[in-house]
Amino acid sequence: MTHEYEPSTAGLGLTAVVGLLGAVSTLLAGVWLGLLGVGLAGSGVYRGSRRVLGVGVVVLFGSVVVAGLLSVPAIVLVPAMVGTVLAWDVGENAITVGEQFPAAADTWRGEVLHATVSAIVVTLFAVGAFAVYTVSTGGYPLAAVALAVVGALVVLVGLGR
Amino acid sequence: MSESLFDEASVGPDDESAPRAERDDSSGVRNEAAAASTTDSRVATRPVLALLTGAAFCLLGLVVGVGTLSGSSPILEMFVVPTIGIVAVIFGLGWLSDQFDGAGGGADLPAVERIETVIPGADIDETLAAERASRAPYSERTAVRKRLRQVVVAALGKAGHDPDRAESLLAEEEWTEDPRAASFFTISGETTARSARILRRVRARIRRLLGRDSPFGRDARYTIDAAADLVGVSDREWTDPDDPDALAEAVAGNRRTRDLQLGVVATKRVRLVGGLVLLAVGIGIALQQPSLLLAGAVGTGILAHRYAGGVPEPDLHVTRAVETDDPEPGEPVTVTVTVENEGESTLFDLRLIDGVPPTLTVVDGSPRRYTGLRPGARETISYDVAVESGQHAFDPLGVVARSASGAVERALTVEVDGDTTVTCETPPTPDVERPVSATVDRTVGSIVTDTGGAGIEFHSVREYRSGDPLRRIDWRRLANGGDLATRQFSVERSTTVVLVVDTRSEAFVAAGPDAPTAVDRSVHAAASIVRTLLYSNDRVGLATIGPHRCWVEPRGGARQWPLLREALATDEAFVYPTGDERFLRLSTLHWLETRVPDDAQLVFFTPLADDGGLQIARGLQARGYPISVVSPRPTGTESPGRLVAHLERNLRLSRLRQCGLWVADWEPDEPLGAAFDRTERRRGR
Repeated sequence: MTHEYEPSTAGLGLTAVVGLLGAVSTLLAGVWLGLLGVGLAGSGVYRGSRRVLGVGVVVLFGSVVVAGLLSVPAIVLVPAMVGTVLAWDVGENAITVGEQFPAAADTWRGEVLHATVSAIVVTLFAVGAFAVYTVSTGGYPLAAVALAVVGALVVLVGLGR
Repeated sequence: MSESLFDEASVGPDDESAPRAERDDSSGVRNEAAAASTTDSRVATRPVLALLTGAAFCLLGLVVGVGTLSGSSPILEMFVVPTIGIVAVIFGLGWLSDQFDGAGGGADLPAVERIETVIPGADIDETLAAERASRAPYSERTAVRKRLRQVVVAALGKAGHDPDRAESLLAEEEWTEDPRAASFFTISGETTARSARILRRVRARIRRLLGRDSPFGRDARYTIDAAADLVGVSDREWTDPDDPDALAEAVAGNRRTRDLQLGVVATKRVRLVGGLVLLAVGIGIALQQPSLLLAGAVGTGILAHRYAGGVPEPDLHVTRAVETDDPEPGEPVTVTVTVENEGESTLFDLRLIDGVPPTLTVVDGSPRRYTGLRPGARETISYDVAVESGQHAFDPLGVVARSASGAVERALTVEVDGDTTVTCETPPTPDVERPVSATVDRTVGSIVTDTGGAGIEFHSVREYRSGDPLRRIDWRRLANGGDLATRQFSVERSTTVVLVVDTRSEAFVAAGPDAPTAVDRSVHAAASIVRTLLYSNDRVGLATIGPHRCWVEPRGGARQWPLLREALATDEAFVYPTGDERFLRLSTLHWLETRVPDDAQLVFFTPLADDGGLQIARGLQARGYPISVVSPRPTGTESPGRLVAHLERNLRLSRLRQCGLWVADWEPDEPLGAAFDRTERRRGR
């Protein structure tokens, strides 16, 4: 790093917004853990620590898993996961911005653009996955769906990290 | 049915072989082409891979939709499925821990806002800091030990020991009373048994695990402390060798867009999401929660997005405009950079940084911008720099372009149309507040004015001859009963002086991160001396010793000052060399010898931060020129590393003084005249 870390205001705000999207969704299922995750993620971006941000996102994800184990409806779980994934994507980007740009630099446009593109992609995937899910839960055993998803994942893993 | 299942599962490995083949191809390319282009070609195959991913998804969706998997076997339910889930969880945790290990950041943008400075001794501080953090590389530790050894040997030499005696003092660990410092140079392969060395290494590792100080770092600090005592530098700011954290903040990092690490890099930022996806799927499978599988599928969006878009190929047109043509020194000048996307594709993620001249400081705004550009769109960056006298060259614009997902980034520099330099021609203000002739004589005149006659400074006494002026008769001698004698004074003769400035890259050093470089200070000093010399009708010339050669013929008179001023303000020799030019000492000295008139005196400006300055001064002296050295001090005593550089420079100064040279050690924040006074007093003693 070539200068002091200065947190980017836009990045901090965007991370909080998408994190809260996730946290509020799990809150609907009665899981409060998500709010702690958002707080940690925010402080990670503020301090420029990927580790703290990562812990926050994992905590947020934990709230999603807990909500999933409580068998909440999928329509709640999907926005929660969207928020979790975006919190990392936007938050990590905000940290690189904080490392590379002083507060005097104009980074607003770039950060909003990045967050928008990511949000669109993730939302499209979420909608697609939700559609497949509603169709496929019509009586197919879990094993079939599980293997299908794992097959797809193996492809992704095979593509290289 | 279960066969078909495993067939489906094996889609993965089959497909996996495709990218493997791609990699093999590209590693074949690696042998022929540069590494950068290999990364290029590998990353460029990403869109193809994304297509494969999509195909795999479709196939699996089809399988699920057609329902070949309907019905179930108990073995599958009981063992295989949970096992797959657990394996997925394990992989997921692995990916998560990967993310927590690495920094995962993108390119380091250079710190162009600040003046580029090299601080003597900062490298030693860096080595000691690295040693404190983990373990510095062997080569660096050896280099530190070697430098300290040279300092100690030279200091012992200065203290009157001959080289053999100094070596034996080092070998017998008797050069200082401090045991840690004394043994610093004797720990080496020859003198210690192998087992003892291994034992020491193990002990050092355990100490470090416990968060304790490393033996090397501690001994090095004590050695520096002892060496400072030996050289006689008692007034130092860094005094506690026992404290391992008292290292000055190393001013590392590059400061020019030219230093940007060019090429294509894949960032690691999606690993955490990959880990989360595997965890969600694994837990969902193991605990039979389909909604968690759905959550995992949501996360694959980020993973797949990574492969879409490919590597950005920015095609940018950049123009730069500097507000004023002829700024006053210290005045803020607005620089405006316009960047236009001339390519066909949208650039989603552009991190721009203008190549601010390494000699200028940004005072308002920022030369950086984070943005995205549609084809044809343009972005304007403007910022203010404080201009100092001299010519300042801008570097190209630095660009880091990331793909929309941020997974791949390309760093490049773009040449800029429009203004590439800013020049400030105002003369540096003289800061020598002394009678003109005295300064001249004391600086350079000790040899040429060695003729008795009329003048100011006392020269000698000779027998009275009729016709001598009454006021020069030595009345005191007559009163004491002596003969009639005439006092003679040094004749002041107009002299030829050539100011020689050390502009090698090694001379661009400064006492602190924002301090002026030694070359800047030399130029200021040269300018003030020029004015006083010209005022007293001397002939003055200018030369530089560095990769760029600058020469102004020595002349007197009113027309010489504008010439010299222009050379000092605008000659490219005084600009930090970009590194392409080579400096050859002997041929440069020879070049200088062919130009400097035989009766000229030289004033040599050098920071003496390396042995090169010393060798040049000695080389000029050996060619028979009367030479004085003015040395702007770039070293301090704030940290162990800087103290080492300070000791080395002190030893060089005393070496030059031993050789009979007049050497002024000019401290920062000190008027030049005060440094000259100090030097005179030292000589008088």
